[in-house]
Amino acid sequence: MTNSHVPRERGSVWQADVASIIILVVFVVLVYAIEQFMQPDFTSTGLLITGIILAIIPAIIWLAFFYRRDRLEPEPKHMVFRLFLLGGLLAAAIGVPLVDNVFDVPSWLGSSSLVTQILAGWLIVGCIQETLIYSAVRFTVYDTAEFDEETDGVVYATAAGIGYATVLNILFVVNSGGVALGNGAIRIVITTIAHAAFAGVIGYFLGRQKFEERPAWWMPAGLLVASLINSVFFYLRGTLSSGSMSASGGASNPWFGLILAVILTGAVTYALSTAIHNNVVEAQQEQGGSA
Amino acid sequence: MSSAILTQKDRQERLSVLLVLGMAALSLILGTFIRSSAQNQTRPFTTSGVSAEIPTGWLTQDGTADLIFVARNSQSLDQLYRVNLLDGGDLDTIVNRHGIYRQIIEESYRTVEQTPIIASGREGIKVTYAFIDDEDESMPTVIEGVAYYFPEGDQILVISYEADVAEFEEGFENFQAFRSSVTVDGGGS
Repeated sequence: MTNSHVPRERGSVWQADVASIIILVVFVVLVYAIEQFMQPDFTSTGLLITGIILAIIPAIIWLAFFYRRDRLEPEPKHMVFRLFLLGGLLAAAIGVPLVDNVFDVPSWLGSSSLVTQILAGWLIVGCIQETLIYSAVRFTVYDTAEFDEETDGVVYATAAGIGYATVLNILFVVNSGGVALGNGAIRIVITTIAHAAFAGVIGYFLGRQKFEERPAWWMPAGLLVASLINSVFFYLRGTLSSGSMSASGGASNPWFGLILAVILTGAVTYALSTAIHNNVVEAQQEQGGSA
Repeated sequence: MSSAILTQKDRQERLSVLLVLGMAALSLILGTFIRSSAQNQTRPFTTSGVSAEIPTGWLTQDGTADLIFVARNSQSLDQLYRVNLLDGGDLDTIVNRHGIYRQIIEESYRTVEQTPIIASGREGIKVTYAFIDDEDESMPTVIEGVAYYFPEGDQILVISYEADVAEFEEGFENFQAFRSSVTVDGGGS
């Protein structure tokens, strides 16, 4: 570890993550309840506009919580927002065209074997998405003074990941001509918190790389880990949802996907906060020993 | 000393970026092979004495009368393979009659080209055609098709492929593999 930097714990960041996950689940339950009990009737334009608003709300919730909670050392809000926008732009300009058009993934992934689905999800979908999130942070804020904590990697990468997810959600709504409120909200929240978790992993690796002496393979390894989590998550989500379809004989059950996404995000948040906590303790012991 | 450490760190950062970008490029190259392999995966399918290799993930439906089965791409329902066994007779006459029959079903059906061919050592007739699919009135699509007619004992085996005109070429190579895989009990295409 370099002597010039001693990492600090940033409990507010993790609290903001956990709080936003809880609020997003509450948001889904509310939307579902509104659909079940009020059964609103939309025109096609109304359905589309409502869907787009639903697609944006998770990002607003996350950003709002982050802004309120990050008091200890607030990141420059404009920089977090820029990363959010950049994540979205990279999704629209590169990520989605590569996955959907160049590799035409939607036309063959779902009907492929387990091994093919995992490999393609890892090497094509995951790698494209996580490389773009990495690039969004690495080639902008990484070399600036505003990236001054290991946890900043997680904060900025998560902002980019949520921007990426927001564009995926908006495109999903627009391409579907609108969405059913309840199921649409579940899918939107799953996409948002899952991409936030994958990006968090990228950010963790970026943060440690910046402030510690890490081997050259450190960041590629981080990218592979995040891409693999991405692939396995979306495979399991698809399997659980369709499994519930055959078990009940009715429509697919997206709640399984939501539960899986909450578990994934909770696990990633816990793992990253624990890893950074251990790193802080280690650094403080080293500093105490040298003093 | 400090600047030397920084330089080493900079070099390491640069190497890390190169490794990440190289790994991403390698992943995409591997991805093209995975895609190609996934699109070429097939499964055996047999019905009414006709066997074929169907692309994995395609849906199959047994037919009635002379239609043996239809296989449809579950991700792009306009893309389908169809296998018929028609009552035998003069090949040209059967092909013309089948074309008229299709035109009765699909008003917009038009034969584009009809040519004698030799495929897998067997003589037959290849017909290319097109029609408009207006099931979705707000967005009618042009369907392109090709049908191969082969004498099969005292019957005529018809193997056809239809797809949205924009997807036709892309799926034609896989159709050729499917066509070669079709066998009839006691015969082959």
